[in-house]
Amino acid sequence: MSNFVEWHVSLLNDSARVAAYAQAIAATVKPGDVVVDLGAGTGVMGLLACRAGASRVYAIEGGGMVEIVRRIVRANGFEDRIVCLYGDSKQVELPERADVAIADQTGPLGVGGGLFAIFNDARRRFLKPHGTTIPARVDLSVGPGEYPEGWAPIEFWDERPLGFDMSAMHDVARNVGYEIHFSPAQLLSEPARVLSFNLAESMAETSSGAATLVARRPGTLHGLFGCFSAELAPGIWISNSPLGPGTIRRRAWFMPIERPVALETGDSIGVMAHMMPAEEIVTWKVEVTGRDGVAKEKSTHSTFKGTLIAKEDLYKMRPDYVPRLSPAGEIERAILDLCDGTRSARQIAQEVCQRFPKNFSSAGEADAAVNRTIGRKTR
Amino acid sequence: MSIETIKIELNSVVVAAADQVSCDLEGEAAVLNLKTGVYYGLDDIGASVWRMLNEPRRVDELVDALLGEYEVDREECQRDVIALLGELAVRGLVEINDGLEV
Repeated sequence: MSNFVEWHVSLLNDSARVAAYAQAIAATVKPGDVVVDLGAGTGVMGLLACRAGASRVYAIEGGGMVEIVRRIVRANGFEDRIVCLYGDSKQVELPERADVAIADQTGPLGVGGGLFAIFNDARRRFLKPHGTTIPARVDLSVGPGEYPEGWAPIEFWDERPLGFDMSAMHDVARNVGYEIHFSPAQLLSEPARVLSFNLAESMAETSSGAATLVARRPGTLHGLFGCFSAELAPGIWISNSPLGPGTIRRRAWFMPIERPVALETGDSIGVMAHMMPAEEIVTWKVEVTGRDGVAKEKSTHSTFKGTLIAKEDLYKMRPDYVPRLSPAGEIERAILDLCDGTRSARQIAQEVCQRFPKNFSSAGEADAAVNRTIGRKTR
Repeated sequence: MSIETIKIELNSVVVAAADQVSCDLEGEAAVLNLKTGVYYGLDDIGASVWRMLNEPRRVDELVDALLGEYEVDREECQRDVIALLGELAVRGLVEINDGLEV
């Protein structure tokens, strides 16, 4: 996906996804309902809600796309019913409570983009008691995968690219997820649901689940395929699993293990998945046991291990670390202190330019620093 | 659990907790508590202790190993290791059992 235009084309061209959302919104939104869209994108969810009879839609969009939504709303004659609000939904205030909160599924595991925090906040501040969320529930499933083509970028680092030792990437390559499409033929057993999130209820910051799978055919285990299923409304599902229900075009996740393992029919594959959605950290453990009870492989992986942490940042994780503002932090604090409700952005830029002459070679640089700082932190 | 209430003796047996993941950073380490989401950074000596905690170890065994690796006074080493294990225990990153056979 090369740019946001193509991204939105892919979303709107995914007929299974669009049909499922349209059906779910038609089944959920009643005439006269108030609806909040927690990340409007092109605004299509709000348009569908109006079509279902919503009397008011609050379409919240945190990016410049909000201007496109406003034009689309006007072009379709819904400006009297759809209110477009710019900002992070967690910072926005609504003048009334909503009957329905909608957010699209993001990411290969269905809970990316801060979805939990967005729904936790919306339930607390936006929704009426017994208000409805779309989706209502998100499940995460994993299945053991035979995926030699997916193994190539992993073993690549052990094969001395250009004749250099690049094995420093060995662990990183085994501790990140790869966005892929897989087919049912690549599964070594049926996938199993390991996590389930009810978006209508407050969600814990961390969740884990486990399952034991049994190889249904011989093959080579390269890792787990992770995918989500989301129940948008009772009986209406979307999923990025090729097995459905309601398969959409979104890519799933390949979660590699330490080394390929030869499986025989009947071998046991113990899997554990752990998620910290706010930090977008996923951990997976895989334990393979032969039919004879002999352990074949056991490994633990986590995107935490795949996160590149510089030593310079590591010491900041120590509890005895005493933080002090960096020069950039000093400038940001000065800018925020100057946001006292009396000074204009131009006046603030002039002031910081005078206070930090070594850091700004032109007024334009100071203007840019002020714009970056005040963007989401002022009103 | 507060650090004052954690009792760690030289014959205590310590092992890394199950609900954590760690990554090695050229001798140093970062540990993440999967239950709380809290990160913890370890310097090179702390990381040496951490690597040994993949399996249950007596505290005096950890101290002996460090004395073989670093030039440090035994009493100081014992004090530092017990303090480190206390910090890790408070953060739920290690489990401590008193005087069990390894």
